[in-house]
Amino acid sequence: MTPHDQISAYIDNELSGEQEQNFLISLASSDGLRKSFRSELVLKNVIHRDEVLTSPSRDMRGAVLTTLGIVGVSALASETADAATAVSATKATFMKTLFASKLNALVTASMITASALGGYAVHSVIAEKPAPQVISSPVMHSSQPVNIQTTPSEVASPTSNVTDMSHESAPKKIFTAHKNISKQPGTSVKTEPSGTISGTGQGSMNPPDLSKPKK
Amino acid sequence: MKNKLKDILPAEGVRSADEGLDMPIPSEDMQYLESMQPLTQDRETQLFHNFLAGDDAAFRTLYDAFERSLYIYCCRLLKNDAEAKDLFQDIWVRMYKMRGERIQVRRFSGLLFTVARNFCLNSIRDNRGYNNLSLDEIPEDAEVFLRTKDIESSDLRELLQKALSQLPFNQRESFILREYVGYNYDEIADIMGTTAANVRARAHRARERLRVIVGAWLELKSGEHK
Repeated sequence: MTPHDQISAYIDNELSGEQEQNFLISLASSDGLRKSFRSELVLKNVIHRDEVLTSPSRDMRGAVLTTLGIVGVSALASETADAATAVSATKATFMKTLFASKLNALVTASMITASALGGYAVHSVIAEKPAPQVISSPVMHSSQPVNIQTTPSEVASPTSNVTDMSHESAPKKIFTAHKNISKQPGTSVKTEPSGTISGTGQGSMNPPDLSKPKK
Repeated sequence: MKNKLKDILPAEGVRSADEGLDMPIPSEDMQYLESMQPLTQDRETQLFHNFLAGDDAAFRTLYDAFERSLYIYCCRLLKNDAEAKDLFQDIWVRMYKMRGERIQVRRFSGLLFTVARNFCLNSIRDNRGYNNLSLDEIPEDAEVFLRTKDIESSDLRELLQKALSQLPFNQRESFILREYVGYNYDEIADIMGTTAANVRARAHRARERLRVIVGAWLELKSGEHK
């Protein structure tokens, strides 16, 4: 067996244990054999690359199956081929796909979190606005109901916002006033269905100091 | 051992988590799963007999399994790619027309590549000028062969394709079926109608010739770099 035959036999895994050992010894000692062996490896590599790059087109598959008259099956075949291609592509770039999908999920999650935080911040800023002084006055509430009827011009004006806010935050303040009033003897409090409180306040209630700014 | 199995296996009356797998798999899914796995000799022959009995889905499964290897076989055996594509379609049409024939097949892939071989031989015979190529037309000196090619503009893959196309038909076919399709020598001998030893000798000769060309190409390239 010539050295070149030995290379082919070694590649085909046809050498016995002893023959393989002798071949490896001669490979280590001979430059020519090493060059041939290297050429063989390069040849294998090129063949593999050629095999990967040579593939029939999808149109050909459709053309063949249509020619054979199995059109109904050809659709299934193309779907199967798509799935097979997808599976092979997934196998080949599994880590890339996984990383990309995780990255997309992370980006989406961070965007949702950011938007949620932004919304929460805006909401908390709005909620922390101080209630208008007009509503918090127990005297005014105890004597007359809050007028929440607004005209369009009032809505457009900055003061109309205050009126609206007073309507939203009014019950808390009114409840506080109601507790204060109920402590006073001889004070009758009547709750109207409209949410306003009216009563005949005869107690010694002082209006709050409006000069101090409230937070 | 039995005690260990008792620990592992679920007790009677206890539903295991895998019980849902006992459900019948839809036929479309089964076909898909079959197409994803390499067919065994018995399976491919069984599928072919199913096709002969009128099952188009079986033919599709066979097509999916052998499409790529047959395409490579045609492209590398013939010089012209367009001709190889036409021949590829003709081979499948020929296989489909076997439905009306009463044939007993021992192995479908053997029949497929035998039909392909005959088609390729006919095509080469029809194209005068190409079939007259012989071993003598390839220069013995690999460097001479390389100098006739534009190695600056072509890579080793193209170069080997050209070298492969100039090998004698039998050597080329043995080499392609061995290296590209991956058959063993007995299977190739079955297709080519010869002995395994003969196939081995042809494949070795082709490989040696190509290896010499690769070696010369590597030396030329290394000389350029120096």
